[in-house]
Formats: sequence, structure tokens, C-alpha cells
Amino acid sequence: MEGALLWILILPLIGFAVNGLAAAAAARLRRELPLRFTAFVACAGPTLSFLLALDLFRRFLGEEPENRLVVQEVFRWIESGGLSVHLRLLADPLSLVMVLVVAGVGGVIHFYSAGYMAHDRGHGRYFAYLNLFLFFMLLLVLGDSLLTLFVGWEGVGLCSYLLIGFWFEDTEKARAGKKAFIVNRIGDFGFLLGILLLASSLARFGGGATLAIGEIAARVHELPRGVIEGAALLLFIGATGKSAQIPLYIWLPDAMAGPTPVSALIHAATMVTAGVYMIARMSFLYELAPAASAVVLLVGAATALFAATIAALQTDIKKVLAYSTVSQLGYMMIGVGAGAFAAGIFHVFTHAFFKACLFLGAGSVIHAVSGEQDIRKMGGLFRKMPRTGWTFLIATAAIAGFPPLSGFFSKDEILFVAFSGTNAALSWAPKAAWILGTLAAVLTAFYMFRLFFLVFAGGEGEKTREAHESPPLFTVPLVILAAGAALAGFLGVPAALGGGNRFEHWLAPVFEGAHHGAGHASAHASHATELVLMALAVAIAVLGTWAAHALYVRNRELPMRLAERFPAAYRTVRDKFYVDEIYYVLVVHPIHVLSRRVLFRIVDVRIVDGLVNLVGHLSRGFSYALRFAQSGHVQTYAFVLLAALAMLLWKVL
Amino acid sequence: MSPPLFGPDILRALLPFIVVAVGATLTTLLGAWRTRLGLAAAVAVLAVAVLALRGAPESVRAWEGALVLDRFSLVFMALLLGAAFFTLFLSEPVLRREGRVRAEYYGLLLFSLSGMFLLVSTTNLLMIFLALELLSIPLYVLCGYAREDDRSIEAAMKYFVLGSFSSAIFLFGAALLFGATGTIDLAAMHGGDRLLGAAGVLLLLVGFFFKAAAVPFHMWAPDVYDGAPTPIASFMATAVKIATFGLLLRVLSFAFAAEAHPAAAFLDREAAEPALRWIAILTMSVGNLSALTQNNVKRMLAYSSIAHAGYLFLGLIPGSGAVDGAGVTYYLVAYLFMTSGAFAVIAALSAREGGREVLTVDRFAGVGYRRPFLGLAMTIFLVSLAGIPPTAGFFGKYLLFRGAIDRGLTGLVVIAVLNSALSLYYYLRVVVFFYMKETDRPAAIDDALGFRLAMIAALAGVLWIGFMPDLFGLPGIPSLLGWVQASVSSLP
Repeated sequence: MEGALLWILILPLIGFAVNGLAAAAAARLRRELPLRFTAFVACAGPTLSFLLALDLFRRFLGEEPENRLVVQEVFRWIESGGLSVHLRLLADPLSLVMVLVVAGVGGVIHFYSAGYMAHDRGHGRYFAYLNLFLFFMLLLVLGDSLLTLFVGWEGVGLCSYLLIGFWFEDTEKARAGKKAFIVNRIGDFGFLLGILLLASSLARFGGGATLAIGEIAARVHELPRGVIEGAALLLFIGATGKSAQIPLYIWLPDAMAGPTPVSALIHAATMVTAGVYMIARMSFLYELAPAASAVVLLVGAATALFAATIAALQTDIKKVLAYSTVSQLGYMMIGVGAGAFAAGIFHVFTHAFFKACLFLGAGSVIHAVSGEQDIRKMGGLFRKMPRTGWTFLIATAAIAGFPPLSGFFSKDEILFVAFSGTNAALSWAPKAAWILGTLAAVLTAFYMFRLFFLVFAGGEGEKTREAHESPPLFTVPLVILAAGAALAGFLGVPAALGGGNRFEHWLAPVFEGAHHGAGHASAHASHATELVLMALAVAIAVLGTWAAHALYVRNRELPMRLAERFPAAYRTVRDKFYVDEIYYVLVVHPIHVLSRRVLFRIVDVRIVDGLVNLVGHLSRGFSYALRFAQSGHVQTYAFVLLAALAMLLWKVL
Repeated sequence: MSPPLFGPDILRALLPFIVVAVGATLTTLLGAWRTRLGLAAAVAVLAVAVLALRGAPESVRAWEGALVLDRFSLVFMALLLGAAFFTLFLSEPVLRREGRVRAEYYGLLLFSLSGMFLLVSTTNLLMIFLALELLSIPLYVLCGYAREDDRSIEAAMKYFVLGSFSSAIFLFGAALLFGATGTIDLAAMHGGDRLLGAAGVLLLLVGFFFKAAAVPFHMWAPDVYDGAPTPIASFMATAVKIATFGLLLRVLSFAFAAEAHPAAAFLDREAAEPALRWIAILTMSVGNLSALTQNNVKRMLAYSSIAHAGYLFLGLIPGSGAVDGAGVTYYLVAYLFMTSGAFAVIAALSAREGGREVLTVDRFAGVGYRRPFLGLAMTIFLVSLAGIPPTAGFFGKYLLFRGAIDRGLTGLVVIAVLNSALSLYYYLRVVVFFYMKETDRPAAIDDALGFRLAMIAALAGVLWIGFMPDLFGLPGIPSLLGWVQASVSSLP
């Protein structure tokens, strides 16, 4: 049983090695690799990993809840002095859920890629990166120490960068990839500081540093309150980067420049949920940090609403889905911020199905309309692409929160815990999050059905005349994912509806310690309240859908008239509140100016370029070197040296 | 307690120095008859030096600290040997390409190495001065080795003038210290005039800061690295830095070890620490910010090496504890591999056109497709330089930063982590160009064996340390961290 864990992790890595070497060899020989070979190798890894994980799941079901834990020691990583880090893999109910999502949904997307990438040269490299991504993602969820988690965390970022910029010829894409990586690094800066703070405080207050999550959990009570809050906040900064929360969400919409299956896999179903997973994994820390939890809660709620607003006016099909992802990640943050970690992870789980389905459906549409992504040029695709249309409709209804589809249960659970939750540091935070989340829910139904109506309903758009249904390699994954999107919710039917909420019970052993802390909800509120909230949620979904129908089907001129009526508001929202521009002016530009104008101009251009040209005219040999030495510039250097020395003497003596 | 003036132990301790110095002389002489055999001679000398190092005793102190052989100096000498091997690998193909194969080149390299050996194994001020000069003078010549290239000559001249300047400052400091204490052995300084002593220590340090290219004593470095032949730039970025930081560690641990040597603590900790902090902040920030807009990759690497010196300075600040010798040494090991690797790639791409190297980043478009291994290797070196796991650079930074946080230097660590986030930008820029569509004027790629050996060795080091930061696995070399920690135990 222990060995299986390592294989789950290693199989995608083997796929990466085989495809990577084959692609390198093919490039050397100037040959094309057969797609059959690369796709087979790439799909084999995740499929086998998924089967192994299923087997582990079956065994876990046979065990008592508290025995559902497998630990496997891979090797001793660092062992010296006060520091000891082992590379250990750990499977418990939480990581197993994540493994099943990553390998399962990931595997489906691999198959889809085989169809999507058929005409692209360099698919060997593409599949290699895709497998490498899976490896790092599995390492992230299976690692038992913060350091292993961090390695996976950086690794998925790197693969995301490689895959967004997959067509490197295109500078636009290369730039998007770089932006994603760099914005993430700003988050990682917080994450790394959080790890350092935890490790060094444990060493100071507890004796002996450790980065193993289990040990930190056991010793977290030794730490002072301030350290706990600080570490929780710093780790959350990391999560805002990876899980695209305010203020670091800006990279995710640009990341859509990558191939559509990559958007589905990395930027919707798996990598972006890493931040939520990390917070759930560190639940013991956040339970003791009510202030940090309040920040998580409010940032999540604000992101959910803000991104939903932007999504409502985007015209690029993938951008709509990108902002929708940002918004849904906000919901997950509300869940974990309210202390309902199981609810947050449940939304991760259901979201993986419907968002992957939406992205792959979008890929199928884009494929059918020969690369067009502007939804205003589409329309009437439902009849031409029935399978894509139906699956897209199911996923849309799921994300909009129509019962009994999966999104209804998971989103409802989150809004319910926000409504009934408490927060020791900021008592109004959960209620505020609930209000923002509910408003965002209206918008969610609105922008998703707006997308659906514009693409699939109405008359033919200018780009959709030639469209036809995509081949089975596209549609079979769509059907699988749509089935998941429809049915996954039944794992978590709440008690108020007579369900057992099996999902929460499954995760209960992991969050056991977390139940007497900041704000666990379900015990406080009655089933009656929950039923009322559910009815409200359904009403909201209907309202949003009705609005979309009214504006985009029945009265298609109305949106334009509204835009003309309120031009400033319309432009502001359409241009994403100018956040990118603001960041450019406030952050990017000053750094460039400092580097280019000040340091580059003064130190570099003047001294080197100017002088080297001058020197070129002088004769060779010692004489010119001497003359050069007298030209005043080495004297500048010497002068700086002396001035610094004088300063140093003056300051220190 | 007067130690013997000579004995078998001292002889064995002297052997590594004798081997390199005599080897340097013989290699230079070889130039008169078989000048093409320079590389073979140098490799033989280094191989014998490895043997001599293995047989050297672990604790010898002789001649008023002129010779101090402890585990610390042994570890640093081993690192320096590694840097020298890398330089040899890079040198031969470059010299061959440019038609400059001569044994003197290798002789000079070995002379410089012998100076570095001495530098890390002495506490005697005169010996330090001698070692500094022995290290520097051959380098002045080597920087100007590409005689037809204006920039090479310019580099040599600048380095020479400013280097002499810094030597003079050092010598002045040594004189003041001697005046204050009446001895030239750092380990034996007891009491004396405080002001004189403190001024002496500061001047001494400025001399070292210059060699380490710490801001604001760095102005020479970008020009010199850029102009010098690539293997020499690599040698300066690795070996010179290693030797200087070895010396800085030794001197600062004396200067700050107030408990162990009450009288040697001339530096007022409260006054000296802010200065060191500022130097650390300036060094990493100016290095990174300047690297940001470089189009010339060699120059970018020069600024990057300044930035890395800045990170290393974190380990030199005692904070609430002591100087972090283990952190600095470990970082230097990682730094040696990743920087040598990056320079090996640059050397393979630095064919001259019309007498000068063309190393602007846009010329490298598509290199990653034309040479997949070279592209992959460069990506890993740069990712490691940026400090992303699982590479050597990450663990180096992790240990250094954690040590600093433990000693209460949280503010500095925040700046350092921000800086390393910033550095990713310019490292990635190179990777992006490597994987862009080929230009119509692609850079010439030199597939010489030496470059490949260097890249493979560097890659092995970067990944090995990254995946198993602790295990070296080879019989006789138990554990890298343990090795490093044991080495600094011989510091005060």
C-alpha cells in the first residue's frame, strides 16, 4: 500500500522523461514525433495514477476513519544540526480527494489534448510539460512538509509558465507567461517568509525546527498568538498569488493565452486551487488565527464579487471563464476563511468538474469556429454542436447554482457557513462575506447564461456558419466532465435535505482538531434557516438567468443602450477597473525607471558606451590604456570608492 | 607554548601550496618548449593538489598565523579547486577558438589559485597582503589576455588601477592595526589603541569588499567581467568570490568574537552592523536593479554576481548571534555550480565577430531548439540563480535566510526575498529568448567538449544539491551540510 503512493507520484514523471527525451531527440534529428506515441505515453501516466488512487480510496473505505492514513518515506532530504527535512508522502482523506481530482480530471484533459494538439508541431514538448505539471501538482498535495509543498508549489508555477508560453514565437504569450510567473513570485515571497517565520519561531519557542505539517500541528500551541496570525497572513499572501485573489489575481486572465486544455487543467481545475488546499492543510493554524481568517474571508468575498462584475462584460469566451474562475476561487476562500474547510474543499472538488467542462467546451467551440474567441461573433451553435451545447448547458447550470447540480450544493454550503459563522476577531466579517457572496451569485448566474445565450442561442453569428460538432476525442471528455458536474454534488447533500453530507464526514478526520476554533457553523444554525437560504439561492439563480435571458435573448439591443446610457461605468467595468494599468503605473514603471534611467544611464551608458566608442579611435597598447586611465572615468570609480570609504569611517568610528 | 618552527606536519600542510606554486612555475616554463601542453600540465597540477589536500593535516598553526590549516581552509581550498577545474574546462576551447593557446595562460591561472589558497589559510596580515597580490597580479594580466579586443585591455587596466588602489587601502589598514596592537597576527591581537585599531579593521575590510565587489565598491566589476575573456570572468565570479568570502568570514569572526578574543573586537558591534546592513541592502538591490535592463548577457551575469554577493552578506552580519559561516559556505557551494554553469553556456555562445564578442540577448533566439541540452541546462542554471526549488540555489538561499531570521534580521530577509523575486525577471528573459523563434542571424554555437563537460558537471551539482541538499553519497564525503558545519567549527 505504501509503495502505491510513490507510484502515483512517479508515473507522470516517467511520462515527462520519456516524452521530453523523445522530443529532444526528434528536434536533434529534425523529425516529427508521431502523435500516437506522445499522446499514449502522456495519457498512460495520469490514468494509471488515477487507478492507483482509486484503489487506495477503496482501501480507505474499508478502514476506520481514524486509520485512513498512509505515510511513505522516500528519502532523507536534509538532516543536519537543528534542521531535519524528510521527503515523505502522506495520503489522508484530504490529499486523496485532491489526488483523485488532479489525476482524474487531469487524465480526462490529457485525452482531450490528444485531439486538441493534433495539428500542432511540438506536441512532444507540450505533453512532457503537461506530465511534469501533474507530477509537481501531485507532489504539492502529497507532500507532508511545508518544504515539499513549496517545491510542488514552485514547480506547478514553472510548468504553468512553460505551458502558457507554449508558442514562444508569440511575444504576447511569452509575456503573459512571464507575468503569471512573476506575479506568482510576489505571492511566493509571502509564502516563503511564512515558512521561515514558522520554522524559526518553532525553533525559538519550542526547541527544534520542523517543517513537517503534522509536527507543526502538534506543536502549534507553543507559539505566541502574534506569530500564528503573522504566519497565517504570510501564507495567505502566497495563496492570493497562486489562487488568484485580490490583489494578485491579474495574472490569471492573461494566462488564458495558453492552449485551452492548459487553461482547463492548470488555470481552472487544479493549480489555482493550490492556495485553498494549502489553507485547508494548515487548518489548525487558521483555526487559531481569527484575524487572518477574517482577512481570508473578506478578500475571498471581495474577489468573488469583483471578478464576477468584470466577467459580466467580457467578450472573449476564455476571459469570461477566467474571471469566473477568479470569482469561484473567492468562494472557496470564503469557505476556508469561515473555518468550514470541508466546504471549501468540496467547492474545489465540484468546481474542478464544471469549470474543466466549461473550458473544454469553450475549446471545442473555438476549434469549431476556427479560432475565434469573441462571443459577439458567435450564436446559434446549439443545433450545430449538440453534444458540446448540452454539456456546456449542464456545466453552466451547475456553476449558476441550479439544484440538484453540483454547484448548488457546494456554493450553498459555503454561503450557509458564512451566514451562520462567527469570527472572534471581526464579528461582522462572515455576514459581510455572505452578502458579497450572495450578490456575486446573482452575477454568476447572469454572466454564465449571458455567455451561454450569446454562444449557443439565437441566430447564426458571423463566424458560426461553417461550424460543426467536434470529434469524439473532444466530446467524450466533455460528457464525462458534465456527468461529474451534474452528479458530484450528491456526495455532499446537507443534513437539512436529509442527506448525510458524506463529503464532510470523509474529510472529518483531517479537520478534527479544527472544530472547536474560530467559527464552525453548522451546529449553531437550525435546519430551517438553511432551507430558507437554499430557497433564496435558487431564487437568485433564477433571477440571474432571467436577467441574462431578458438582456441577451429577448431584447438584444438593450445592453448596447445601457452601455450608451452609462458610458463611464461601462468602460470602467469592461476595462477590468484598470487594475493592470494602475499596477503598471504604481509598480512596474517606477522599477523600470529606476533601473533604466538612474542606474543604467548614469553608471552604464555614460561610462561604457560612450567610452568604448572613444577608445575605439585610440591606438592599441599600453599608451592608450594609460590615457584611458587618465580619462577621468577610472577616477570616477576611485572617487566613489574613496567617498564610500570616508562615509564608512565616519559612520562607524 | 612556542610551536615548532618546522616539522613533518607543517611540511604536509605546506604541500598543497607548494604543489600549486611550483606547478604554476613549471607550467609557465613549459611555455618555452611545448606551449600546447599547458592544459595537460595544469590538470596534472590540480590533480596532484587534490591528493596533497587529502593528505593535509587538519589543524596546523605556524609562523605567527602565516600558515593556518584547519578544516575551514581545507573546505575553501576544495571549493577553489572546483572553481579552477571549471575554468580549465572553459579555457581550452575558448583559447583554441581564438588561436591563443599558450602555457603561460595556465601558469598565470595557477599562480592566482596559489594566492587564493594562501588567502583562506592565514591570519597573518602580511601573508594576507601577499596572497591578495599573488591572486590579483596574474588576474590583471589574464583580464587583458584577449589582446586584440579593446574591451579586454580596458578591463585589465581598470582592474589594475582600482585593484592597486584597494591594495593600498588594505595595506594602510594593516599598518594601523599593527601600530595599534604591535602584532600582525589577527589571532594574537590583544589590546591596543581602540580608535587606531577600529580604523585599521575598517580599511582592511574595504580592501576585501572591493575584491568581493560589494556596493559601493563594485564599480569596476561589470566593466571588468564584461571585457575579460569569458573563462576569466567566470573565474573571477566564482573563485575570487569564494576566496574573498572565506577571508571575510575569518576576519569578521575574529572582529566580532568579543567573548573569545576580547581585545580583538575592535569593531564596535553597534556601529559596524548598520554599515554592514547597508552594504548588504545596497549590494543586492543595486546588483538586481542594474541587471534588470541589461541586454548583454555577460554583463547581466556580472550584475547578478554582485547581487549574490549581497545575499551572502546576510551571513556576515552577526545580528543576535554570530557570523553564519555554515550558511555562507553552503551558499558558495551552490553558487559555484550555478554560476560556472551559466558562464559555460555563455562561453559556448561567445564566438567573436570582428574581434569582439556579441552577447546581446536577442542573438540567442532559438538556441534552445537548436541545442536542447544547452537550452535545458541554461534554464536550470538560471532558475537556480533565481532561487527556485528544487535546485541548489533555493537551498542556499533557504539556509542563509533562515539563519538570518534566527538572528533577528527579519527586515533584511524581507528585502532579500523581494530582491530574489525581482531577479527572476531578468533571468527568465534569457530563457524566453532561448525558446523564441530563431532569428536570421543566429548566434554561433560552439560544441566543444570542454563546455559540455563543464555544463554536465555544473548541472549535476545544481540538481544534486537541489534534490539531495544533504547527501553526497560518495564514500569519504559524508554529508555536505555536515561538512560545511564542521568546517566553520574551527573559526573563533
